[in-house]
Amino acid sequence: MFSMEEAISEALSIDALRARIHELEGVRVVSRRIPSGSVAFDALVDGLPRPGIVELCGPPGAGTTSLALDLVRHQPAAAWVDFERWLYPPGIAGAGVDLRRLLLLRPAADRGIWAVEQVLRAGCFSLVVVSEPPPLRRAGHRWARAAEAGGCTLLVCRGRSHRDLPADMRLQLDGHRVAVARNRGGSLGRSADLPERPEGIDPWV
Amino acid sequence: MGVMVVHLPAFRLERCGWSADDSVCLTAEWKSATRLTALTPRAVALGLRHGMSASEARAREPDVLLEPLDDAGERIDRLALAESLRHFTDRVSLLWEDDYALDITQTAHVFGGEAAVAEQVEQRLRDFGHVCSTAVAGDLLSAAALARCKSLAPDAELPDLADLPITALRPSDELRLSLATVGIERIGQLSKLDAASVSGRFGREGVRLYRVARGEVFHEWLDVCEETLPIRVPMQLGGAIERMEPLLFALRGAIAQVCEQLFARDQLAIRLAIRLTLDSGAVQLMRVRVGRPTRNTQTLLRVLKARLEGLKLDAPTTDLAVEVEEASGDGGIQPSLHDRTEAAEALPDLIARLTDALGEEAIVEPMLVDSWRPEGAWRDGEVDGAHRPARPSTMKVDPVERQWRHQAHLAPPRPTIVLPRPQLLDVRERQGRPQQVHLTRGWQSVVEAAGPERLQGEWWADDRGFDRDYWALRLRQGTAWVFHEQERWFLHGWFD
Repeated sequence: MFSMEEAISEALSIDALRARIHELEGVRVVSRRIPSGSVAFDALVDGLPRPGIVELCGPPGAGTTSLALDLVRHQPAAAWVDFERWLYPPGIAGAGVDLRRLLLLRPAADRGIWAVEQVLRAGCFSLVVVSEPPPLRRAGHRWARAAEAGGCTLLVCRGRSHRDLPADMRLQLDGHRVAVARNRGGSLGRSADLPERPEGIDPWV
Repeated sequence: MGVMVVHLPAFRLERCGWSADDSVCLTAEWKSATRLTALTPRAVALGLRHGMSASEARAREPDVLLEPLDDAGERIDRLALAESLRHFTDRVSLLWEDDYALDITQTAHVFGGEAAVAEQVEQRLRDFGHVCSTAVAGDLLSAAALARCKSLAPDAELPDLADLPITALRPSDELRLSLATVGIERIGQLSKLDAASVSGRFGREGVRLYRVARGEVFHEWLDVCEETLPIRVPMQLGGAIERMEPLLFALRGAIAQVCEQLFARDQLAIRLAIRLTLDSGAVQLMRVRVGRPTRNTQTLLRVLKARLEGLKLDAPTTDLAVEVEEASGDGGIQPSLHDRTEAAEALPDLIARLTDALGEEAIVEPMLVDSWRPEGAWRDGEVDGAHRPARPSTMKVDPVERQWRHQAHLAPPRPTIVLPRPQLLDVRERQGRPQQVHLTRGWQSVVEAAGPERLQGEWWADDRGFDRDYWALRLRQGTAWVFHEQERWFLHGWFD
C-alpha cells in the first residue's frame, strides 16, 4: 500500500514521463481547467479538466449521480451513456436538468464502449457522462485519446475505481462526502461535503 | 430568357413501339371505367376520342388495339428522356404529359445558337424514334403554345401567338370557361382586355396568361412537374471480393460520383441504398441515413464505413451500386448559436450514425409522462438532433407549464436512479416502519425514514394494478427508495 507521499511522487513522475513522450511525438496537448459552474466543486478541485477524464467512485446512494447532474446542469448540452439503464428522468428533471438538452444513450455493453468513443471524438458535447461501464481493458486509453480529440471532459461514474481508466482526476464519494483521490494539478487529499442538492431529489431538505 | 419547349405528340405510344399509322389506344382506369388516355393520329382519324370508354371505342372500331397504360414504365421513360436532354442544359422540366421545357438562356451559345440547339434536340429525339417539334420563346407558355401549333402544321409558317386559340396557353378548366363566357377564344382577344378588369375577374392565373398574351417575358421558371431520375452509380468490381477493404476502396469511387451528381443537381443526400450483388446472384441491400442532408464525400464515406464495419458478407461480391433514395434541395446550413464550432462532426450526423449502429431504442430523449406508476412516469422521445435553446428568463412562462411545475414542486422528491426491476428486500420493521434493511454489505440500520407515500392505480388492469407504500430510507451507504406491497419489501432506487 503506497503512502500519500509515494502516491504523489509516482503521479508526478508519470506525468513528467507522459509529457516527455508527447514532446518526442510532437504532440502537445494542452489541458486546462474549466469552471464547472458548481461553486463547491470548483473550490475543491479547481474546475474540470478539459480535455480530460474525471472518475467519480462510490456505492449506490453515495451521491455520484447527483454530483454528475450538478455538473451537467451547468453545461449547454451534455451526453449521458447509461450502461445499467438506471438513470431516472423524473428524478434528474427534479434535479434541475433540462431533459431537452441531455442526450441519453442506453447501448448494449458490447457496442457501448465503441459508442462512448464516437461521442467523445465527435466533440459535440463539452461534457460526456458514462455511468457503470463494463470492464474497459484497453478501451480506457482509447477514450482518453477520443476525449482529447473531441476537446471534451469525460465523467465516469462507477461503484469502484479501476486502473483501466487513465483519469486526470479521481473523486471518492462516501456518505455524502467527496474526497480527492487523484488530481493532476494539485488538491490531492482534499475532501468536502457534497454540494447542496435541489429539493427535487433530496427527501431530507 | 430563352425557353425551348419540346412537344412530343405521340410519345406515350411511340415508347410502346407504335407509330402514327397504327390504330392503337392506351387505356387506363378513370372515372369508374376503362377509358382511352392516349391515341395515335390514325385512331383519332377513325373518330375515337380521349376519355371515351373502352367499350364504346370497341363498338365504334372493333379492330382498334387497346393496350393498358404502363404508368411506371412511362414515368421511367419520361425521366430517362429528360436525363438525355440535360446534355443541352441543366434546367430541364417535365411539362404536362408530352412536353419538356429547357432553359437554354445560358447554354445556347455553346451549341451554336438557339436554332442549332433546336435542330440538335430534334435530331436526338428522332434517333430515339420520337416525332417532335420545338419552339423557343421568352416565356414558357408562349413557347409551349408555339411548339404545339408547329406539331399540328409542321410545314406551315408559325402563326402569331395572337391567332392561336386560348387553349394553347393551357388554362385551367375554370379559367377557360370564364373566358369563354365573355367570348374570349383567341389569345389576341385576351391581350386587348383592360389589365384591371383581368385582375379582378380572372384572378392570378388570368393575369399570368394576359401578360403572356401581351408578349411579356417572364424570368420565373414554371415547375409544372419536377421529377428527376434517381441518382444511381453502378460499379463492376472486376472480380469477386471477399474482404471489406477492397470493397470500401470501390465504394469511395462510387460515392465521389454520387456527390458530383448531387452537386450538379443542387441536391443533398438524405438516404442511400447500397446494393451488393453476390457471387450467388443474390443481392444484399443496405440502407444508410445521414443525420443532416449532405453531399460531402468524406461525411458519406464515414457513415458508410461505420455501417460496413459490422457487416458480414454472405458470399463474395461481384458488383455494387450506390443509389440516392432520398434527397433534398440545397437550402444551405444555418448553424445554431450554441453549436460547438470546434466539433468534428455535426450532432445530427452523430445521432444518425449511432442510431444506425446501436438501434433506435438505444438513443433516447426522455419525456416526462403524467403517471402514478413510477416506471411509467417517462417515455422515450424521438431524437432528431435539433437545437433546443434554453428558455431565457425573460420569456413569459406558459400558465399550464407553470402550474405543472408548481405541482411537480409540491410532489415528493424522486430518486435519480431507479432499478429496471424492483429487487426483493429483507427488511426488519417495527410498527410498520422499517428499522433495518439487508443489502449487499449486510444489515444496515435505518437512520431516518420518510414516508409512507402511497402510490396506487391501474386497478382496472388485472395484471397491472399496483398498490405501494414508498419510503425514503437514510442508511449509512446513502438514501434508498423502497416500497412495501402485498406483504413484501422491494428496493426500487437510490437518491444517489
